[in-house]
Amino acid sequence: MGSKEQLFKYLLRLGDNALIQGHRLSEWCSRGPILEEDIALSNLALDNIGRAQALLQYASEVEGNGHTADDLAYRRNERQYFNFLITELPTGNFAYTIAKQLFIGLYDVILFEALCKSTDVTIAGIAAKAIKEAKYHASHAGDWCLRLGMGTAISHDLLQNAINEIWMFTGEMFEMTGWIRI
Amino acid sequence: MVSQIKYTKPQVLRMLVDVRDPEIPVLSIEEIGMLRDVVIHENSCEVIITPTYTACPAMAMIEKDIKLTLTAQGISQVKVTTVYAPAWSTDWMSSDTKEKLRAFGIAAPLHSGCAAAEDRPTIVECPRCFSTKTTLISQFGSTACKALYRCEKCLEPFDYFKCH
Repeated sequence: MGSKEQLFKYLLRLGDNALIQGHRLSEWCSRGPILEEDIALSNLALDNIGRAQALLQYASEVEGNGHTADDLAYRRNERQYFNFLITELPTGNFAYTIAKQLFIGLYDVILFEALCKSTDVTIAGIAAKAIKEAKYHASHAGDWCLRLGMGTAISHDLLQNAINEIWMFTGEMFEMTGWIRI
Repeated sequence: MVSQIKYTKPQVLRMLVDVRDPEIPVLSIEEIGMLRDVVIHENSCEVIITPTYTACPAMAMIEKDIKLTLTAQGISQVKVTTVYAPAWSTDWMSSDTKEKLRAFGIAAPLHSGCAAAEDRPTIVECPRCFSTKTTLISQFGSTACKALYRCEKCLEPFDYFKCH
């Protein structure tokens, strides 16, 4: 694979993670446990869709086939998406979503801090923007983990069960794809 | 090369003072830091903007408002370019801008980079009664760029423009 195709696939991977995560979060819109949390989760969804838009826009420019960001987001077959499995897990209950948010949020902070130093100026630019949002996402999930974990026996168990179930999906985040060195 | 655009960059910047953030109509896009540059080309005028948040839903409306404003002044070829770098920061707001925010009922950002837990603002002043006895209700308020607080003195809820 040429480096252009490697870059394209890498951008798809970054973009797909944000896209799928954003859509899963948007399922909470109008179904949040409390009004403030409904708004918060919808805002987190929006940040992810914005990030997906920026990354897939760049992917479409790198590909150079006349596809738009929307074409890449919505007109591929399901086997042509490169997102981590953790992002497409069902929404589940609130504790399950918070557990997912914690793992993904903390990973995103590490990832985008590193990508801020990318030699690709467009990726570095998007990362510099994404890191600010990712920090808020991680602190939101962290707050709720404490609240649920130290809340009632029920909230504690719901969160612990979610962590136990989702933990195994985090390994994929650290697998080398061999697509690109950044 | 003589541009067919009969206005200078400072003149175009003055015209754009009327373009507002629809969520915060007291601030122009320059005051909020979204307007990055104006470039006068041979036959067209290019306006460079940056979003506050990557998914800022006001971007399409702002782009349309820029085009409408400049077209009304006789500039027929207007191009709006969105850039992500350098990443928008609330540090770009002047103290005058922050006071406009407060008068509008939104507590102004205290400092930058306070997303990390240890840097979180400890005291956010109520924009209405100036009490410092306030409580964070939600990190994400009416829009992604604002958090929701409640004043324990006047009991009013209010938005806090988050540091970014």
